[in-house]
Parts: sequence; structure tokens; C-alpha cells
Amino acid sequence: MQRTAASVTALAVAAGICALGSPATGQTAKSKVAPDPLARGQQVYMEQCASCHGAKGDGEGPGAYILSQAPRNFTLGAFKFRSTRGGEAPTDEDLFRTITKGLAGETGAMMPSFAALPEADRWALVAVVKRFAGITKVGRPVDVPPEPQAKHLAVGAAVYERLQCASCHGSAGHGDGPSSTTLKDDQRRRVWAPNLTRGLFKRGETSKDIYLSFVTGLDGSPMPSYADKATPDELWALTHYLQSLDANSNPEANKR
Amino acid sequence: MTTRREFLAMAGHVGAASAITLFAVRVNAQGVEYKATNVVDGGTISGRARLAGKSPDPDRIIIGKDNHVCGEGHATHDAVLVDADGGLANTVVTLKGIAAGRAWPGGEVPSITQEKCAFHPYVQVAPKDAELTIHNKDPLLHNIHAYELIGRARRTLFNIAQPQAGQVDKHKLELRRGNVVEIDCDAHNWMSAWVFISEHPYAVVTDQAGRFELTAIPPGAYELSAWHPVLGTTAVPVKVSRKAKTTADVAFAG
Repeated sequence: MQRTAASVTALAVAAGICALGSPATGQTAKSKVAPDPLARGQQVYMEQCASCHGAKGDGEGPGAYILSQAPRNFTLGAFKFRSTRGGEAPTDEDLFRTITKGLAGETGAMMPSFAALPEADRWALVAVVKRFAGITKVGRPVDVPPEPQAKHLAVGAAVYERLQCASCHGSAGHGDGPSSTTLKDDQRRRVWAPNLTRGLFKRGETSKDIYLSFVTGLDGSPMPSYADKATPDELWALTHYLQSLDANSNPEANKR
Repeated sequence: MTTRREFLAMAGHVGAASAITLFAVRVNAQGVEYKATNVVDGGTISGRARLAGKSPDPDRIIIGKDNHVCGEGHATHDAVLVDADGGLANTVVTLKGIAAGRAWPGGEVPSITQEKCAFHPYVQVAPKDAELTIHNKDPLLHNIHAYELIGRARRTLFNIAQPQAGQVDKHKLELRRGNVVEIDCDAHNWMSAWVFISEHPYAVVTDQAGRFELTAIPPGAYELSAWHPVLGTTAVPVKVSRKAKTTADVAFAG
């Protein structure tokens, strides 16, 4: 019982701080009536997110049909872009980063950046997404050792072959591997293997983003986790190899 | 300003509350938490799962790649296996909603093997939160992709790449709401397997003739339920008396 009382107090205090944190929106008065720490987040969610992700967080928003890649259904609790092990919940920072940065992609297959929202509102959205997803424990972050300076592209190409990335992404990374025609996501919707030669990486274009995708896998999509299936040096070489396939930065790369 | 830490604190409280709820709802269909007890003078139910009607046509999926390992033609790995007498294999027979009975013996080590581009076994039973050991015997990339089935939706439990033969991985089967794990391989879309998660050990998979046996059952009235990945669920009422052997069949209409 003591613990419950303490929790209630902490919630009330946090709610108060929340209210103070957003004076421009008139939350101060409202929060006194309903000291719900998620109230602000819920309000921002309905304004900014629900049109695609749906009022219930199930990815069935009124604008979802127009998109070529379905918005995430938060209620299933699986997230592609994490710094945590496969099958585990993202960290709060992971969710915050996706909300802030957005997700790269072609029109209809991307998520815009919400960096223009006040930081407190973005953290409020993190709490809302976690509630939809029923996240009760944060996943364990994976190790990302420092990126080596040297780029061993031949090694990377060999790792690409050994890990059989070509099975889906194709031998030249064009997304045309033999399995690319049969891929489905967790909701049995047809999905495609990304073309790796366009410099578009949904999570982000930094080396660390690419490296993380190998280790964490992209939950809910067919992309598995390759944790322990290659050494960190090999995965860095693979990262650099994928970057070298980018036809924008390397015009030679995309010649067939 | 609300800081990140404060929001984390809130999220933490929400999390703790949900965790308690989750724990509280770990109950069976009758709303009673399963209680492991020492069963004395328990009874036995044996019988067969049967398919009364016609066997549905399996999905015939073209083996479109890796033919040197996977074989040629069409895969029918989800075929409904019925013997000459109507006995139905790959069916989980369970005492639905049993409130108390013996505990899992312990030491269960559920495992699954990918060989010649098929999962073995196709259907198995595992205790709640058991750790599944995953073997790849094929010299090519498999990615074992496990989902918790929640109604029609699927929630990813894990998705592990095994690009070489001989690789072994382990992952816990931690379900939130459902009791069925669906397993796919995205690299070979015809591959399919199922794990039925049971809180109690009164759940077995039928053999090739559809036979099953459940032992050490506390005397009482139960619902004998059968689940098949293609045919769904069916059930019959059954009574178990002290030390008695009861015979009961469960039949799918097909």
C-alpha cells in the first residue's frame, strides 16, 4: 500500500510539472482538474499523430489508406527502430528520436519529423506510444562498438554474401532478391525489400543507424536480427559496403 | 519545463501498474488462476482427434528458390494429416480451463529445427515463458520469425537470422495475451510451424494416428478441447473419475 501511495504522489507531482511545462497551451488549469500525466500527450497525439496512427494507436487512422507503407500499429508492441535486442521494447530515447527525426523514405512510406513540437510534448508522446504498446519493461540496448576509420569494402561485400542479404535485397542491393516477391509483415501485408542503392535508410543514414539494423532486426518486418552472426568488424565493413552502394554518393555503384 | 526524467518516471509508473495488471490476468478462460497441486488418484483420458469431414486442400506454395536444398515443385507443409481411419495428427488436445492439477514436470526444453526448408516439429506444446532452442541444419539462410497470435493480428516475438548450417539460437516465448505462437521463415514463405503455450501440462500433441493421452487428472468435469492450426478449435465435455480410464474422442467437422 505504501508503494501505491508513493506512486500516486509521484504521479501528481509529475502531472503538476507537466502542466507548468506547457503554459502556452492552457494545460495548467486543465491538469488541476484531471491530474493525468498522459493528458497532455494524449492531446498532442490526437492533434499530430492520430490522422495516420489512429485514435486507438492501431495504425488505422483516416489518412492511413493513402500511404504505400502502413503506419505502425502501436498496440502490437513491435517496433522496427530500436537500439535494443530483437523482440524487445524500444528505449524511451528510441521512440523520442523517431518522433523527433521522423523516418526517411519515399512519399507515402515515410514519417515526417516532429522536431518543431516542444521537447516536452515529444516526451509526452513517448509516454502515449508506450501506453498503446503496453510496454512494461524497456529492452536491453545492444552494443555498438566504435566505428573503425578504415573501410574494408571487399570484406563488406563478402559479409553481404555470407549473411545472404541478397536473398531479399538482391545481389546488387536493388531489393530484387528471390524472396523479395513473397515478403509479408506482421499483419500479413505485402512488403518489399528496400533498395539499398538509393541512400534512403528509414531509421537514418548514419553508420550507426545502418549497423543497428543488422543487430536489432526490424521487428514487425521480415528483417531479422543478425546479432552474433558476424563480428562487429564485419558488420562495420558491411555498413560501409552498403554506404558504397548509394548511387547518389557513388555514381559508379548503380551501373548494371 | 517537464524534463525527460519526469516523463520517464511517469512512464515507469504506468509500466508498473500494467505489470501488476498483466500478472493479475494470468488466469484461464474460467477466470481462475491455475494452481499446481499434488494429484492423488488422478484419472486418465485417452482417445483420438478425428476429422469427420473432408480434409481441406493444403496451400500449395511453389518452392521458388534454393531448390538444391528445399526440393522441387510445391510445398504442402501445412497439410492436414489424416490417417485411413480419420485420425488427425498435429492436433493439441487440452483440458480447457482446468483450475488445478499437476505442475509441469520441469526441465522442458522445447526446440525446433529447420531442415530441408521445413520446420520440425510442425506443432508442439510448451510451458508459458519457456525458452525455445532453434537449430538450422540447412546450408542457407533461414530466419525464424515467431509471432504471438492475438486474434487475427500477430505480434513479433523474435526474428533471428541463421545464415549457416549448425547455428543454434535460444529465445524465450513470452506471450502477453495469446496462447499460440506462429512461426514463419520470411526467406522461404512456405515454411510454417506452431507452438501452443499452456499454463498446465494437460496439453499434448496427437500422434500420426490422432491418438492422445492425458494422465494424472484430478477427478471432475472438464472441457476436452482440441486445437489444430488449420482446422481451428473444437471441444467435448468429459468426466474424469478417481483412478479411472476415460475414453473420449474429439472430432472436427472439416
